[in-house]
Amino acid sequence: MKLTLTPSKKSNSSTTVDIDSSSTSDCDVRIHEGSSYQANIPPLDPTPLATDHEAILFWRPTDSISENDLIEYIDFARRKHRMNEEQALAILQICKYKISTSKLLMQQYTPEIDEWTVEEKCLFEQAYKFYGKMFSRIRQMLPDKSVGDLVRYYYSWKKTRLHKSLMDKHEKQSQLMPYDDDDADSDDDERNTTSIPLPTKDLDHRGKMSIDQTGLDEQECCNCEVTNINGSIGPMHSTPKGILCDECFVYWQNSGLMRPELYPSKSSIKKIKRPPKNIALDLDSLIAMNLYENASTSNTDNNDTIDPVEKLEDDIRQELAIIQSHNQAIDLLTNQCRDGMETMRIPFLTSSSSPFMINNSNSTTVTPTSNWSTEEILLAIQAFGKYGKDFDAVARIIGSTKTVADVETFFLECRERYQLDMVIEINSKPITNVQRKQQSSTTNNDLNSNRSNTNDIVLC
Amino acid sequence: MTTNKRTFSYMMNPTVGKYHYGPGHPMKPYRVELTNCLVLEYKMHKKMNIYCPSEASIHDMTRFHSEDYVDFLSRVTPNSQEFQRFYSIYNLGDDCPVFTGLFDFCKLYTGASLLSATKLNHKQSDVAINWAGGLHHAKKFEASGFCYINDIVIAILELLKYHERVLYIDIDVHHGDGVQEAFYFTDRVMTVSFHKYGNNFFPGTGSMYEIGAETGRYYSINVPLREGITDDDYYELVFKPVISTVMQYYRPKCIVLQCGADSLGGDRLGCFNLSIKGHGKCVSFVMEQNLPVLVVGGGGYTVKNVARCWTYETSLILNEQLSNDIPFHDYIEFFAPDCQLHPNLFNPKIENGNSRQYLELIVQFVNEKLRLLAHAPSVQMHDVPPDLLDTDNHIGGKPTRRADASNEFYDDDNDVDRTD
Repeated sequence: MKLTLTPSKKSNSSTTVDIDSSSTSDCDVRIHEGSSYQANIPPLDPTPLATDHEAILFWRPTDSISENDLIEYIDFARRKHRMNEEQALAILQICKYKISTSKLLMQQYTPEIDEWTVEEKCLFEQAYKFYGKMFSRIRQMLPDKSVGDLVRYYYSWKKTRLHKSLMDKHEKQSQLMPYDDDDADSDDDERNTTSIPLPTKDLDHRGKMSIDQTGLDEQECCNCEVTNINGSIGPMHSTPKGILCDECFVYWQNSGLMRPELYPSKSSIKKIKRPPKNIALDLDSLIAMNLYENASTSNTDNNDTIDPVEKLEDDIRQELAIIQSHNQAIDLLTNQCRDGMETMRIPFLTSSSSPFMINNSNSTTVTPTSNWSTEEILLAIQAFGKYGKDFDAVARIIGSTKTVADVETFFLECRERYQLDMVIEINSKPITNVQRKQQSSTTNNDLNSNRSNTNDIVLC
Repeated sequence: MTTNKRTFSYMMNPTVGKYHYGPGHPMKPYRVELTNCLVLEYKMHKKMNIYCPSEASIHDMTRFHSEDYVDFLSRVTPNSQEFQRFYSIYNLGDDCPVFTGLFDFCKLYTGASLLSATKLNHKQSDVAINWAGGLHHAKKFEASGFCYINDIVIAILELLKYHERVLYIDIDVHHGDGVQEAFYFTDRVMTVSFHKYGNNFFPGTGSMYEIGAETGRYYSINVPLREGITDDDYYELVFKPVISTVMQYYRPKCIVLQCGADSLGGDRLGCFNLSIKGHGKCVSFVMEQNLPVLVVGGGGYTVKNVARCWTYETSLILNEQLSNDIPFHDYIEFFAPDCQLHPNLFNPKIENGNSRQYLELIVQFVNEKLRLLAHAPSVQMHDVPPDLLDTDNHIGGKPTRRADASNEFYDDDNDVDRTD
């Protein structure tokens, strides 16, 4: 019975075909009975502690270190010694939670750093392209690394940008569609990048050029840069690609490609292609990167030279970490708000239990009761005043202790007692703009007096 | 151990991600490494002891498996002609390929499960978690369904030394046939499995009529389900009622929970439609029973969802709230673009083939069988807790003599009517 290879697993329809072929194996599929299949049950033997399996205790939670210290320590381990978290915690635990001693111990204990040189990385990528996931074959190309190391590296490499680099994608795209080489805008929407998009700069030189050119009498073809002074060559055509001279325009219309240049262009700087999406290039950052490189060679403090690209990657990682922590904070706050809103409603209604208990229970299922407490009646009357006969809204205001049906019955029964009709009538008078100013003060007074009247009626 | 302050152990082996089943194979040990990564990133180490378990020995494995099978596994290497003759005998090959480091991998996850069982036995921990284990299909002398060594059986055998009755719950989408078969004849282990059954779904066993045999009759429960079952149906109509009844009638001393994540929606091989929260509800229900629990992994073939699911369930076990946004770490691209802990896994293309009546029928059948448990005589003998025996001064080991009625006719103690 095959687990992966049965196609019938996924769809119902193909099973009728498969049942015939596998009917012979059906009789094999049953629970086997007999001594050769069952396990031997050991007798119950509650003897106290025998030898323990030797296991290394990595970590035991403790109160002796504050959380911030711990986080700082782990970051330190990661940055300085490239240790992952479990090793850092293990060392801390061994040193009995003293941070200073564990830092010293870390320097002595260097973990096997899985350093991959650039050649090894290239070799791995080539081998992967050739063999796919057959790690034993890949190992033949990289005999220094064990299969386990290769697997590890594969998983960490898989999702990095090197694997799905944007430059490679752009290359592929441009190979497929050569005439769209210059115009990368339409490609960007189709491209499915897994990386998080960064702000891009618009480097549409062509756009700037066309604006410049329309102001001048002299017009230049974007492709062959023939200047058209006062119509010497012929009509210039304005196209999405820019302003083209007649020949270039005809060529473009027929083939969709730009007419190839037969001679070096006057100003090849104008032909700067736009960088692929998500890459922001500007002169300042390039200069800065250059400075990094120059600076790092003279820097003797660090053991390894800071690769500027790596530094940028680190920066990106930090920013992403900050984004995620912001997301978490937002999540926490929204949850708190939600809880807060509920606690504001519920403690007002339930008379017996204390507000603190309700905060902890964090539940919204309060069972509906048939008795109307004083607070509920108060709420109901005010709600009626505000919403009129909208029982739904009133029920919502009171909360989950009263259903809509309860509110309706209350309304019908206690109409006269609490003069609900009057309450609704007074408060539901439509206030027009003209009357608003006049009536605002009076209606407020009325409302207040009404409310106090109804209060009196209720309480007495 | 008071019920308020429970201790938790987590088995973390740093090399578990180094094993690869081969090209195109859905089982990826790397998912455990991803889970470990997330657990540490969410700072859950604050509440539990983390162990790096030692490897299991051949002797440990032969407690259940046959010697020649384990011996073969220890010696076999991939791409070698002389061993390939024996592959079919042990069911190695397509589903259970021979890959580099196979036996190390087996030793690793079996050792972790065994250590977890030991921790529970010596009461050093209330709950032990081993996501690398849970390979429930392996049989006594052959591999099956991506499983080579059945670490669950070996762990239960260890637990049986200190606990009279062990309950095994399996929420993997596949039937837990290896474990059921191993304990089919005994009443000291009750196996309960919720799985997809029908249409030749692997492994083909697991109908509700498989209830055990001889002494183990009624001690195997199978809940066969159709595809596309959703959270509410699974938990409210099936899992909770069945497990409540089992707890009531069987009263186990400890529980082993296999949390196969292929019952989630969107799994590469599975066909259920559970969400991560729904899957987790089952885990929290088991935790509420206040018994020692051994939690193991199992199936799960969409790596990122498996990691999310098991991380969430670890948080449920520790009673810790996790933010829905996954904290940034080296492997966050696996969870891109949403980087959420609870994505929507519902697959609308799979229709729910489980009607309410069907589910109620199955649960009713299961309840009937469980009620028969109370009348089965063998249970009562084991139901006596050890405390009672101690107070009767049994340390010396003298058996009590039964009082015989004067009109009783029998030869000796061994004269019984039934022949077993």
